[in-house]
Amino acid sequence: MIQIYDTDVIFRKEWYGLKDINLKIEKGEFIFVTGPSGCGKTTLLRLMYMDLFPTKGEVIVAGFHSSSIKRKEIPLLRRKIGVIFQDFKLLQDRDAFDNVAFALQVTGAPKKQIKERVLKTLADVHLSHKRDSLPYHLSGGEQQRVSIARALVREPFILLADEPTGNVDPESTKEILALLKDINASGTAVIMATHELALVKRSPYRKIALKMGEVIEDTSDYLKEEIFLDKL
Amino acid sequence: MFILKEAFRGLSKNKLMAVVTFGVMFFSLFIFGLFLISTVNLFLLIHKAEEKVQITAFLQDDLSQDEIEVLKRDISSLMGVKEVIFVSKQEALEKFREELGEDSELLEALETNPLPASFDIKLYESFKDPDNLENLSNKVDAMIGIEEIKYGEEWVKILDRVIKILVGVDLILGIIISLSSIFVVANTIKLTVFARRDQIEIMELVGANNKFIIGPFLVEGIIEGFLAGAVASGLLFGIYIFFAARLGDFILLTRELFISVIIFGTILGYIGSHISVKRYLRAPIGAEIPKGK
Repeated sequence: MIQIYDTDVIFRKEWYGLKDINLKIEKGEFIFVTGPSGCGKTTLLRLMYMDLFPTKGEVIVAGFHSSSIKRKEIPLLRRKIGVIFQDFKLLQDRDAFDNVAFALQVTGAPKKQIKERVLKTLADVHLSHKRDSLPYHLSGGEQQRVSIARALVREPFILLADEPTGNVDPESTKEILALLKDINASGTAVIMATHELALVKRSPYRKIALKMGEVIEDTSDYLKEEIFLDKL
Repeated sequence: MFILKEAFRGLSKNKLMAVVTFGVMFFSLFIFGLFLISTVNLFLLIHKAEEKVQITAFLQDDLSQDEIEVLKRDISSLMGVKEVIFVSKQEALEKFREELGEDSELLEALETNPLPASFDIKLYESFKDPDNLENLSNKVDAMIGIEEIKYGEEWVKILDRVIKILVGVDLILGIIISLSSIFVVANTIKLTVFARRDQIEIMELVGANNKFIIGPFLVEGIIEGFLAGAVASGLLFGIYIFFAARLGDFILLTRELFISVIIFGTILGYIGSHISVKRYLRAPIGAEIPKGK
């Protein structure tokens, strides 16, 4: 589903954002990407939604190859991927409902369908009662749930979460994690970048640890073998 | 339609920036309108001056009616000649008397009419430059029965120079005004886009294609440009009414002029927002490849 081969990302001369990355991510996985600040977690996620292209190597997401994707095709890729951020990135001038609906409106979906799906998705993130609230009337955790709803409303096959709990209190962190697990249980792959090791240690899921742009630990090393065999 | 709705939402949620953009556009368009009025009047003036340019060919006194007819036909057949008007000795005298006015009594002292008959040779616009005038005059002068030729050489040369300079200055001014309007307006719109760059970022993130991202901004620009153009041309019209009463028929204003201010405004809004939004569209950033090795 997502394959990354021999990928380097070099930002400036000799400064590696990522170095020699080989990853294979399967349908329905839940993965933590961990590591200290500046280790390349965000860079790795950006490669996946093609906000960034590798300097060397190849990234393949949902059949789109980083080496051959056209500018026009990027929106099509993004529609299959949900992305959430530490800072939520909600539009401050519209309420929760409209923020979620926005993701469908920009693709020209019919009005009736938008309404149905937005209401359903808001219910999934337990925010039906706050659908008319503007972002600044919502708590951090609630705002993150709105942004999760926006990412999910188009039923993506994968949800990329860049430090989704970085800006919320411990109680909301639990809620958000529980929500991500529900989402994963329904079949959507979730890739969550975080530097909160405590969160990760307790979980049984696959972990990819980065340090200075290199993978230093991948709890499913057997997958690496597979990539190696694939290429032979 | 989503794009229209977004455009109106953008205008109403960012009132201050919308007003600033409108103001800048209005001012640019007002200046542009003044420039248009001056240009139209300048060309009107040039046209009036050029209308007076003609060749006068004086005839020898002893020509018969037939000879005059032949001459007239010959001159008419020259390239660039629009019309040949015969002015008889008698008509010339009448005209002269009119020009003298009160002093016309002086003419009573004359026993014979001293004025020669002549042809007023009217030319097409493109033949009114000094070279063509000289060329034509020489041809007419060489015809049998022509006594003398007059076309105000010196005056024509000066007029030609003045026209060339004026048109040149006008053209340069026009280009400067248009370009600076676009520049200023695009920069102002850039500020309004900058204030909403998060919206663009989110749109790109959720997979909106360029049409949906740029559309609302373009529509906003067009609406603002149209309104600014309408108000500017309204004000210009007011000023015109004010001055027309005092300056007589010198200032010429046509409906086309007001319409072109509005059209220019609309185009200005369109180009301005197009330039600005394009800059904020994020091309996927390819990591920089180290140069050299």
